[in-house]
Amino acid sequence: MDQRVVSRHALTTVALAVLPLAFIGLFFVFPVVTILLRGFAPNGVLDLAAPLQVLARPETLGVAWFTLWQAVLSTLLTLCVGLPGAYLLARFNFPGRRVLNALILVPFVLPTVVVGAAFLALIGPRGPLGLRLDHTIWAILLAHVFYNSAVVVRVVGGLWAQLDPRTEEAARILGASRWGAFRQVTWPLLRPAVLSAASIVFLFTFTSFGVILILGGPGYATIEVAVYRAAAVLLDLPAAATLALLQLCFLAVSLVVYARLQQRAALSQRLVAARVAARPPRGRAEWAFVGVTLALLALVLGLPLATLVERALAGPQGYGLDNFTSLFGQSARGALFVPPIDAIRNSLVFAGGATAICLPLGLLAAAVIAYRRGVLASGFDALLMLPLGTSAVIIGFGFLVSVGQLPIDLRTSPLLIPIAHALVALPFVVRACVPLMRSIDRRLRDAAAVLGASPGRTWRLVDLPIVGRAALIGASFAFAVSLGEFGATLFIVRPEAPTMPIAIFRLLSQPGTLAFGQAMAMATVLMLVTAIAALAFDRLRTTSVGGA
Amino acid sequence: MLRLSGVRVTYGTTAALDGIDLEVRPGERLAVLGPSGSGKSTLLRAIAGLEPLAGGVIDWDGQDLAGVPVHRRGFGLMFQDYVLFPHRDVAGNVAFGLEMHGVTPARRLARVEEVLALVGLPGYGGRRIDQLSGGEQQRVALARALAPTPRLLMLDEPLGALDRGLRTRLLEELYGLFTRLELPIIYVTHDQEEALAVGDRVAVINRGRLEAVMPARDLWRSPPNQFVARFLGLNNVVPLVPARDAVATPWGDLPLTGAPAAPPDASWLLLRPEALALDPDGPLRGIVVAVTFRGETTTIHVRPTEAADGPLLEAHLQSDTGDPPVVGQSVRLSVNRAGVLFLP
Amino acid sequence: MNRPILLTLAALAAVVVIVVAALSGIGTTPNPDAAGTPSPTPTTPPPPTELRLLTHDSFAVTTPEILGVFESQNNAKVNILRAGDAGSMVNQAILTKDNPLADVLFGVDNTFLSRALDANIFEPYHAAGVDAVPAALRLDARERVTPIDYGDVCINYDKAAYGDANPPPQSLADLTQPAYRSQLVVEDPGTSSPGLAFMLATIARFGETGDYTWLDYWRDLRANDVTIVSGWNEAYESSFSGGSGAGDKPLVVSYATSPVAEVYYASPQPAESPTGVVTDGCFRQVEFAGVLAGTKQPELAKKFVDYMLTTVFQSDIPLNMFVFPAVPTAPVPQLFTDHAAQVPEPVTMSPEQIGANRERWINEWSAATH
Repeated sequence: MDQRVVSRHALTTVALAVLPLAFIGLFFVFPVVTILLRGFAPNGVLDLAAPLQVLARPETLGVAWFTLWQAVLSTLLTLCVGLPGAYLLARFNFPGRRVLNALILVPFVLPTVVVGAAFLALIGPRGPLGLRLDHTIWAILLAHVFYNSAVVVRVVGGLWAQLDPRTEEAARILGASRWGAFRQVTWPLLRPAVLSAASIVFLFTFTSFGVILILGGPGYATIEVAVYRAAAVLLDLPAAATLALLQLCFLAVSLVVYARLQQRAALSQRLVAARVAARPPRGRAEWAFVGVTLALLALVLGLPLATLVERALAGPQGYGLDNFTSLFGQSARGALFVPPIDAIRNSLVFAGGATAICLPLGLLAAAVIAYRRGVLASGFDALLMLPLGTSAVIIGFGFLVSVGQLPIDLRTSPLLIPIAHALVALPFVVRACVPLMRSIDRRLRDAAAVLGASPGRTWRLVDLPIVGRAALIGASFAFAVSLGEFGATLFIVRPEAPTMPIAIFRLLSQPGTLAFGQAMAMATVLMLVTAIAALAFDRLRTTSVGGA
Repeated sequence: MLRLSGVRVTYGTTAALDGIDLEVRPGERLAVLGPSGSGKSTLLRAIAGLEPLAGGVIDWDGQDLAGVPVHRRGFGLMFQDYVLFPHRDVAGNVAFGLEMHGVTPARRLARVEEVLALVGLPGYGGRRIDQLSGGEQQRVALARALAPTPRLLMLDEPLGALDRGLRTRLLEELYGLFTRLELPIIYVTHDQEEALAVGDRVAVINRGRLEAVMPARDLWRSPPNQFVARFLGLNNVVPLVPARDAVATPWGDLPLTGAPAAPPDASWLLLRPEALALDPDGPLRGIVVAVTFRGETTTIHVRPTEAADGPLLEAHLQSDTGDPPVVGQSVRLSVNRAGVLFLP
Repeated sequence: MNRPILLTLAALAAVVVIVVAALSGIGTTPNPDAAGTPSPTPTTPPPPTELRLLTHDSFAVTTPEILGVFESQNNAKVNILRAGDAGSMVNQAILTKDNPLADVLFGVDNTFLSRALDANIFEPYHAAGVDAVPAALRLDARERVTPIDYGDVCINYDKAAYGDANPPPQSLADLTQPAYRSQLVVEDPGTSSPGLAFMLATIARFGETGDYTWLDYWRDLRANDVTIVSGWNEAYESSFSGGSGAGDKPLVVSYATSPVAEVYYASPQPAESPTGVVTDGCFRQVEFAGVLAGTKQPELAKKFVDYMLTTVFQSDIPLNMFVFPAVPTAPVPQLFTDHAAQVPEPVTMSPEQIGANRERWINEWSAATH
């Protein structure tokens, strides 16, 4: 398909790509390469003996294999829950739909310590279900599904909501059953978004850390856990560097596979406003589907959240709001230097900053990837995904040893936090924008051009409203990622401005029911803030891009 | 044969279709004519099974279609703006229905070629959808609907997206095509010219109800009510004001001697535009405000002499009779008694 | 044609720059060159000097009073930098020793001490008041670090699970007895500090050679169905059944001061703690502070280390960090004396020995317990 917005000049491509590239180069490539070099050349001389020995160890192979298969299985299971959810929210209009759409994002945000506590309360000793799954692979898989369903629902659902339902109807009239219509007509159009979402989920589950540690226990280790042990605990940089590089290789391979699958040109198709496509369910079959999917979502996503809230409301004298009110005071005697309420403010500010950095960079990067075909664009795409697949410890330590050499010492600056968050959130903005950018009907642009709009104005007036919707989806993800970001933040040296996840972590590390109750209360607040932010973004999306 | 009895479709509390009784006989061309929002598309969707019925029955040859799912009804529907499958080429689109019915690839190939030739696009199988013009897409959509040999073909405003010249040409082609097909056809449109050209019978629909279902010529000659008359473009409809042996119109009193009197339930008067002629002794008079030359006919609009903003009388005059009137001229007209209609 | 694109780029770049500039205003900006600059006019007071304190996530004092005392006495502003847990903090300090992140480091304990000392990240300093600290705690002869507090890692037990008929365990060896089968939860020494301490206690107690080595002990524990989790949170909050724990195991590796926390944070405070401590086999952990080599504020850093040994600071430690002050004369709250377990003979091990063998021991432990 001929994309004529961006001119054929390579110069324009470079101009668009320079800012995101600079960002990634400065805050990812440079730190990671520095720390890896310290691992491979500890005394300035390349020494591969230790790394090779690490690779030869049988545990390394076992860890790598475990990481791979649990990620694949987690991704498949997440698709099983997320796809029906995406369809539900994209096509059906029912009371509470908007709230549900916002709530889906909540699990994504929660830091692993909190989720671990909730799951352990649910399926651990003394769990209300009578089901003991802690320290089994099932706890890990369930937690992964819990975390990542939001990605599938939002990314796939976002595109699905804009597919013309009449295409399916045409297929059904021509003799395809509902399932046949889906398979023959909807699925080919949906596939790019599904692959996009699946790649993100795979990435997250491959690099899973907190879930493995807390819910799996010492018997399970992913490469990420092994890197943590090597770097943060043992300060064995050669081993850490080797394992981190191994992880990167795995991810590079899977990204190549992903790119091959996406090779087929994305299709220009009719995109309709989401409101048009969603309608109330009719008929027994549709109501049954809605009911079953809602039940599934309630079970997998709702139960752990409900456990959290229950724990937050529980006090030594029964249920009440004491844990919440104590958040406003100087709580838990020094575990937090500021009233916990400040952590909320800090989180919001950092999330806003991360989104503000990430959104323009993401749009620029998405423009390059969507409009330029070829190896360079795919390579750029892969480069953007790498921070998600690199161990947080490596990135954090990399910052320490590299950023100090810059003229401004950012190592202890609060600015580093939104930068780190933006690095992690960037792929989301890109992933959300690219499929929609590619799907824009060429005739719309032609129409604009014929009416006198230059390519730049065409982009602004035609693509941007449609892309704007995608950008808002990406921004909502970026905001949520930043709110709940814990791993990378943990390994950066932080001034005394804790974010909510850090505050929760500190509260959980303190003994006593009060601290635990406060941690659960703050986790509930985190949930609420995310839900409100998601609702606000959704509201923005429908009002500003209403006509798209 | 398709039969609808008392069919109702509601969206929330509003009735999109409110008690439709309709038959489509074997081999018949039925045009459904109505303004936008009248429920024409809903009617097609209900027949196809895409909309559940709030009341009434749709049956085919006596078999109630209520339990029959969409993909087993064996009807063909050509959507407004075509809705082709973007991920398949032309042959892939046309062959879709055949695939669904399990036709072997060899026979599919043959049938696709056959149908493409039928719609005037031989050899287009390998083309991509986004490379087709509007007219070509329309034909592909038609071919796709026809390929699996449906027992009923429905078309939803097939010419709506095309420009005027193309529309006329394609209308003739479609009509020619329809005469060669032996299946019943429902053709939905808001354009009365298309409806009259295509339909053996025309059903006029307004706000979910059928105003009339009549053969095309009868509908044209004797529109059953003032809505249909106006919709058919017969604009000289005024309230019926009886006077002694005459009816009063804004342009003068019209004597009605020696002709059947107005039926008791009539409340409107229609003067057919083509029944008006310039007549220096005519009973109707006014000032010409517009003259439009249309080739064979010239249309003039005449306002009442006394009322500068009164209703306009539209007359279709033969162009070759004398000099055409000019704007501002005072004229007198008479009307052929056959062109005076009383409407309820 | 290029112009609109370039304009868009310029606008986007401006947005990024503005955002970055705005965010730099959030935290404090380092001002290392302000030290010692004489004020231009005698009437305006000089701006406070910044002192950066690198510490772990468990550092806690009563703010703003405690730090405020130091700040007003020295016209300083204490900027606390958190760096994860103790091990992670030490590693980060080592990685950045050529360009230190802070002026003072607090929170290195004896299990990581040798690694820190071998990396030469500290400047030796004989703190004022360190002579009052017992010799047993002053583990570095060269005084590169100063002991600030100490605590003991011990087995805690749920009082409700035991009684006269089935008493709680009295010693490490008891834990392998059938009477205590499936009751113990411990933390992985590779990822948890108390877990590491407990492992070291077993090594010191049973030794590496002889008839019954520490690995034999662990195999017996394993045979007695010990539960192993990754960290203290999972062990105490989710697996332990006593006090605020929500689990089902009545024995957990925790701190001798954990019962104090159980009382202190309960409302209303009970007369007795719901948990008790097994005082045999407790491992002594000492926590140190040190002046980081290469700091731009050496004098101020030394003053801060001195301050940490003052009564004001030392008496604030117990109810904030739940450890004992290093200076024995510092007053300890009554709650502590009432509920904290007294450990007469804690197990100790030299930092050098720990540093030399830790990785090997952890690997051997992993093999024995899987």
